[in-house]
Amino acid sequence: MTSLSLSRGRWRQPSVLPGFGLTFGVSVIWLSLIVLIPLATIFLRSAGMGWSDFVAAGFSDRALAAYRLSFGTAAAAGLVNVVFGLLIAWVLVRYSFPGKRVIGALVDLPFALPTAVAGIALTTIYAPSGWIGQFLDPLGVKVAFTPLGITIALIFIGLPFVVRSVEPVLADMGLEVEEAAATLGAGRAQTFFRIILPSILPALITGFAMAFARGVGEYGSVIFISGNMPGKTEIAPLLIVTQLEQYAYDGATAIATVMLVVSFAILLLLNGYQTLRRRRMGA
Amino acid sequence: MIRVNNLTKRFDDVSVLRDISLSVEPGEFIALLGPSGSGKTTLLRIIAGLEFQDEGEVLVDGRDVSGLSVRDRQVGFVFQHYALFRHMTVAQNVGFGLSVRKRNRPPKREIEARAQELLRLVQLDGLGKRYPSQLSGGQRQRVALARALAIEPKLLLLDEPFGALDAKVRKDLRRWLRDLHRQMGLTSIFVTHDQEEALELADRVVVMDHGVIEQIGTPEEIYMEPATPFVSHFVGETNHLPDGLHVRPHDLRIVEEGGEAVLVDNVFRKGGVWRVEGVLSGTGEIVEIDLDAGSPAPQPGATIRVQPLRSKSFGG
Repeated sequence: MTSLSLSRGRWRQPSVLPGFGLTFGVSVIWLSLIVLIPLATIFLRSAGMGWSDFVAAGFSDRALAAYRLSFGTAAAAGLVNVVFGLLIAWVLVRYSFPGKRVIGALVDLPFALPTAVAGIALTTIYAPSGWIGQFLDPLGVKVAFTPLGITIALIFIGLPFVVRSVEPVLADMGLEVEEAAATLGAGRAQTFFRIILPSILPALITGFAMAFARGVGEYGSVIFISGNMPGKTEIAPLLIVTQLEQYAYDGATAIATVMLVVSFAILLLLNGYQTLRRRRMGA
Repeated sequence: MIRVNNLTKRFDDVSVLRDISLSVEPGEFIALLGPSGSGKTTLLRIIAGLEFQDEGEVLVDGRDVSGLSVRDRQVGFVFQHYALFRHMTVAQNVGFGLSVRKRNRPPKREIEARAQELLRLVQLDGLGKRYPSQLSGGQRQRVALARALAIEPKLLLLDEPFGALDAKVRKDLRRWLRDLHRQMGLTSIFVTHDQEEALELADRVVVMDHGVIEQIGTPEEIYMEPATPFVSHFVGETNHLPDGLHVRPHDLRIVEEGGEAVLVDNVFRKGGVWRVEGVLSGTGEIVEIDLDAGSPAPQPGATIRVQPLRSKSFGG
């Protein structure tokens, strides 16, 4: 018995769950083919550039402005989605009303819709002559062809991530905890901020991270509404495509590398925080 | 102190409570006993203010509290599945009720001291810094109790407080809760479907079925003088003899002549007695008989004759 379990190596405990070797092996190969190898070629390519070329292409003023815009609007859209995504998830979990299933399906629509369609639709509506734009224009609020427009497109794209990650946690929490808080004298606001919010915070962060990551990389819906003015409303993914169209492969690769590293660092940070929290709570 | 008058509650079209009246004296320990679906938990939740009645009133010290929300009733409530706040330490859980006070909220240090004191009371001192997930079921339930006691409730309500615990822990907690109730001079109402628990803990037992109170009485009255066939059946073990006679297993004796003929199926030792399982020759009803372990046990397959020492008649 002992020799058997020793021979299995120290990574895994003896278990009745079969097939660890097979599933783990397939997982690694799959991840390599789909994620790791394509990404690695980006690094290889930029590694071949030389440091000064890399900095010149990856950290030009135009590129820096594009990063600021991409990460800034993605973060803003993520935060807006955290608030309204939570609200929608709350309504879907806590109340039953006619058409609930339809609303549930509507939430997922941004997943399914071709992003270019969403972009064109949003541009049409928010342009100064559009349905909503015509009311905003006299107020001096310009949406289309501004960072605000980009943010709105990213809010649209990111919404389902927050709703779908918070929903199950909210449903799982149950009413008993809230009832307990009420019997102890807590008001509605106290119950929300001290009981509900901390309990769903990990799910909210996960939802934010996914919406943010998606927003940083989003291309199709943004290019129509952004106006694409270099240094002003040009997002980083578009800059990459522009570079490619000009056969500036090195420049495109350098920008891609910077985005990759920053995105990965941010996701790692958020994940690390979650792990820390979970370990602290001993769950 | 607490009076419930003619309480009625419906969920959609189903009546879960029908014309319930009950009064609880200060310092009493009351058990609401019944099978699932009897309405006992709904009654408890209405008294707490977590649910609202359709008709009738709940009076606390003569004052109608029906319009008062649960936060203003200052009632301690212990949930079956503890309902602890998972993201808070044990001490934070216990101190929560004090920390959300709008008026005369004690300073932070005082809340912490009070939480420590309560944890000592429930014999969990030293565990204040742990999280609920790091505790056993019995420990969690004691945290829930300490948390409920922190707001110094006049009335303590417990919904199946030991339902999710294993037998040994249950027994220990039961005795401990009884002592705590006395020591703190609480008035307590607890819900249970376990008749043994109700009989052991409560000063008075309220037996419920299908939204109706079947009987209110001391454990002795409930066991010895069941008011309805349901109570006789639900509380303790009961044999049905012909002519509507209900007889406890320990109230049957073997006789030479007369009585009822019973075909013995199985005999085993149950604590200090022989438990004889058999079938009534007349009606085919299953009969359980407890015989003094000092006497010889009948053999399976034999036919014996039994007569009730005492019985309760509910008509044919």
